Amino acid sequence: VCDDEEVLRVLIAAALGSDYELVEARDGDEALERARAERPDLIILDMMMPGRSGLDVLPELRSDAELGPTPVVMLTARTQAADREAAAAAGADRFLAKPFSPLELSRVVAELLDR
Amino acid sequence: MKSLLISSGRLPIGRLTAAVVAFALVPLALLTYFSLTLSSEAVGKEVEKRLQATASLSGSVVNQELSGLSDLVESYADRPNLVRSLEDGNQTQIVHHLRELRAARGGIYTTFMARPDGTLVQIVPLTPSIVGKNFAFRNWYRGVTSTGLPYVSELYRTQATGRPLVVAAAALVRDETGNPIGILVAAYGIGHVQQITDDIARAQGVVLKVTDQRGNLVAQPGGVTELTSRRADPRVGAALEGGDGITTVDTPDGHRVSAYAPVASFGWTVTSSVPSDTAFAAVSELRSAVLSVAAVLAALLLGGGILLLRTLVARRNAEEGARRQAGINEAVLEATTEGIALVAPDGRVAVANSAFERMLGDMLGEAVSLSAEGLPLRELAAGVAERTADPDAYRSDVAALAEDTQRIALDAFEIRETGQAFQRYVAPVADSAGRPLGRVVVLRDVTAEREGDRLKADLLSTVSHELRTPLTGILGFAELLVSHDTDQETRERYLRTIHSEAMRLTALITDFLDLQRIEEGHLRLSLEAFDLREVLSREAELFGGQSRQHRLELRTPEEPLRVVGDRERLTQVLANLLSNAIKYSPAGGQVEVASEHRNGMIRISVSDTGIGIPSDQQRHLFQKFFRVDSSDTREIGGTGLGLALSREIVEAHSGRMGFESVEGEGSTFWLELPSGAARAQGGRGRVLVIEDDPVAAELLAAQLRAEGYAVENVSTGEEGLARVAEDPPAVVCLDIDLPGDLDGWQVLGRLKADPSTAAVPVVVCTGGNGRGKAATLGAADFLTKPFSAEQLRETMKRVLPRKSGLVLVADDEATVRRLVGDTLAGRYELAEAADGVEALEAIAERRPDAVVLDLMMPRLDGFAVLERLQEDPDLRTIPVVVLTARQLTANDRRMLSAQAVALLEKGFYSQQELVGLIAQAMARSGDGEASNQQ
Repeated sequence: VCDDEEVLRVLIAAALGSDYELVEARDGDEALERARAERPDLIILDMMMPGRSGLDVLPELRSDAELGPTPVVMLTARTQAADREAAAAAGADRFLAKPFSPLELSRVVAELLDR
Repeated sequence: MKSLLISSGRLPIGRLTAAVVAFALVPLALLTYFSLTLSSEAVGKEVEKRLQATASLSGSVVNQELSGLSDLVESYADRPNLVRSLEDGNQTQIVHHLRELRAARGGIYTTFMARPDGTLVQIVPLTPSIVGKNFAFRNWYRGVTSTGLPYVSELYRTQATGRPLVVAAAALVRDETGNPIGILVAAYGIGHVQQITDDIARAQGVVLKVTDQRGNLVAQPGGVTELTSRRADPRVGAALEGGDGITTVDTPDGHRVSAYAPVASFGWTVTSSVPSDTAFAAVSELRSAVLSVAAVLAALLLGGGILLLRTLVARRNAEEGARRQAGINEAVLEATTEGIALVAPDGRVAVANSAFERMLGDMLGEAVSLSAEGLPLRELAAGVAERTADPDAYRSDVAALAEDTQRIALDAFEIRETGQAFQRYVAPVADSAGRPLGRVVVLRDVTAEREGDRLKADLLSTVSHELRTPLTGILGFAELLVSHDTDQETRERYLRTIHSEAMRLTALITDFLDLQRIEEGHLRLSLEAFDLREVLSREAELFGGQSRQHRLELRTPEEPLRVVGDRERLTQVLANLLSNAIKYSPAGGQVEVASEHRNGMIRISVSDTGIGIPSDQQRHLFQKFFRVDSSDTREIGGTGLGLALSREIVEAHSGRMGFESVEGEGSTFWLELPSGAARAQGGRGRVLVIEDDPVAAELLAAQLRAEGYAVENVSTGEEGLARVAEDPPAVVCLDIDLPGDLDGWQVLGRLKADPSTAAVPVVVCTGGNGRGKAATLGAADFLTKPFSAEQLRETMKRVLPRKSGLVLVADDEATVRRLVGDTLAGRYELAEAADGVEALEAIAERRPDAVVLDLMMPRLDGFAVLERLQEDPDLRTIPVVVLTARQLTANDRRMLSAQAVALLEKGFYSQQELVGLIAQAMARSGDGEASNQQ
């Protein structure tokens, strides 16, 4: 779970914490670092973060041989079609616009992990 | 500007015309002069010739006449019969011969015979009375006897009947031996000569005069009846001596040209003359003919010259007009920010303003000079294409334009390297007759607009992001609460989060709207005068209480930090700075708040020993939604709007805000506000109460406040003196019994001794006596405790400086009315109005000397009030100071300039400025109406 906003990490933890083991990161660099260390089954990535944004981080994840196939759910405040396309182009598997429903998120996560 | 506009020099019309006149008129004058001179010479010669010819003709005619006469007499004298008759003394025969001779020729008056001694023998017509008389004294006798030849005598008056003037032709009668035996004489009337000369004179158009050998006039126009000698006439004199010639003489009748000649054989003279003007009548005729021709020619020339001049002047005026118009066109072209060029049909740049040149230079990355010959635009376009972000698109646009010359296009392109964006408008241009002149190309640098659009989009997405984050928390936790069974503790945690996120969202929206409002100039500050120390200490206490982990130190000066401003807004700024300082400092950090007077400003600084701001991020600090980005700041909440908002608020108070920061060491944020001094307090001025008894002081203060005065209380004389020196109040109320080293009398003495405080009126308020002493020391009045509110009011009215005019303060906000009122209190009498209608009523009723007018008021706004005032000649002259929070457009300012003497923006003026403006307005109003009516 990578989001610079604490409240969202808390929310995601509340939504998913009971079913999954969670690792948190607060920015892009930390996300890459922790992803490499922890090898998560799924990554929830905020698009808009200070420093390296989700769109910067994602291609790097994809280019990593081991992390490449990991499903990524991208969270963003941007709803414009262009952002959706950018997220898809960068390789996000799913796209959730804020404000997102935590139930929807847990459904999406379950779906991606079941595949 | 590179332009191909034809420019021509000024025509030297004056010189040109002078040249034309000189070249045409001078030859004409010369021609006239020479033709006149030559003709008058020729005519002169002709006249002379005619005169001479006439003179000599007349001479010969007279000669013939006299010769004929003389020959006739001689032939009779030679008659043998006559000789015989004379020898015989045959009187009858003699008479017969005499009669024959007399009849032989017209004009013979008498004929007679005399003896050689001159004795008259016989005369015809017969006159016996003179026969026998001797006539040897006659000229004929002397003439004929001295030469022995026939002789024509001088003119003389004969003694014969009628005594006419005659000349006598005499010849000797000789016997066979040749001895003279008698003299035959014919007296000839000069009428015949007269007739001959008259004929000639008439024919020749001259005046002829004939004299005899003595110079006596024989013939002249009108005849000769008296013996008149003309010997004195030089012409006659010369002719008598046998000369001839021509001369000009002055006569009483004027100039005459005259020829003279002798009459051969007889010694007579002939003069022929004409008046010069007659002689030169032909010349004058010729002259007038030539002159009139010359005049006509000159007139034509001059007329032509004038026509030419007018044509030239008209052309020059037209050219000047065209040049001026061209100048205007050029100036307009140069004044516009858009690049404008006319591209001729051959693709060359015919006209381009410097903006166009500059933009082209920007596009090509090098300075371009469009020479007067014009560069082919296509070449330039090829160069530009290489540098655009999308060269292919640019090239196809240009190609499309080249294909269709009537195409009207509006497109845009961006320069790759510089990011500059240009908008291009192309349209065909034709002259008024519809002939194509080429096409106009208008370039507009839209980089800033694009940038603005981009910023707006960025802001929108940032706002969207910032708003969605708390919203996600609220909705998310709410959903979890609804959908899951949660225990009490979790539920509370969720609810707390929802609450705090909702608060955060609210703060965000409030801040954001505030900021928008300020940026659009809609922020309204509720101005009041207050002591910032109060705000500082309250906020410091509040924040100090919140964070036990930080040490918070507040330093404030002893003197008040008086500002005029919006208390809530300034509190918001200070809270923001304190909150930041605490948020960005580690636990145990120290926050220091310092305040001081500095250069007429009040400076407040908030320093922390926190993480500081990386230098590369410092310049973004006041940007909206900017948050210092480092791993330590992530946990720190905040809207990212606080500093931007704070700075806007401080600047709205005519203040400044800034910071110094070293990463890892801490930051100091400071703000400076204009010092509001102590002037603005209480309605009618400030009264300094120097009174040590708190009950008495409070009572007095309450009474004064009720009257609308602001009150400041000190309890010792020393304090009182210091305050008066520092900030002179309107009035000092002075108690006499004071603690400390100075009593009231001493204080009064010192106040009056110091020139800077002597003008402040002092009312001595005491329980004791001393009215006389107070007056002597210079007190304005004396009040004995206890006194009534009425007494106090009267006293205050008496001692306050006379107010020099009435000022109406029209503003719907009570705080503004109070603030302005405080500022002007003590100086002017004040009236208030809460809206435009009230204002007009008050103005009509009391005719104030000046009006302080708000523009945005209910019922009738300030513009309408000014308009009504303008309509009334009496009210038009009232000076108005406009005080507004509204941002004025140029149009607004124009509307206001008719009557408003000054415009002050709320929150952007100092009290002194307002006071100064009102004083100026009053002074001007006092100068007379005229100056205000302008």
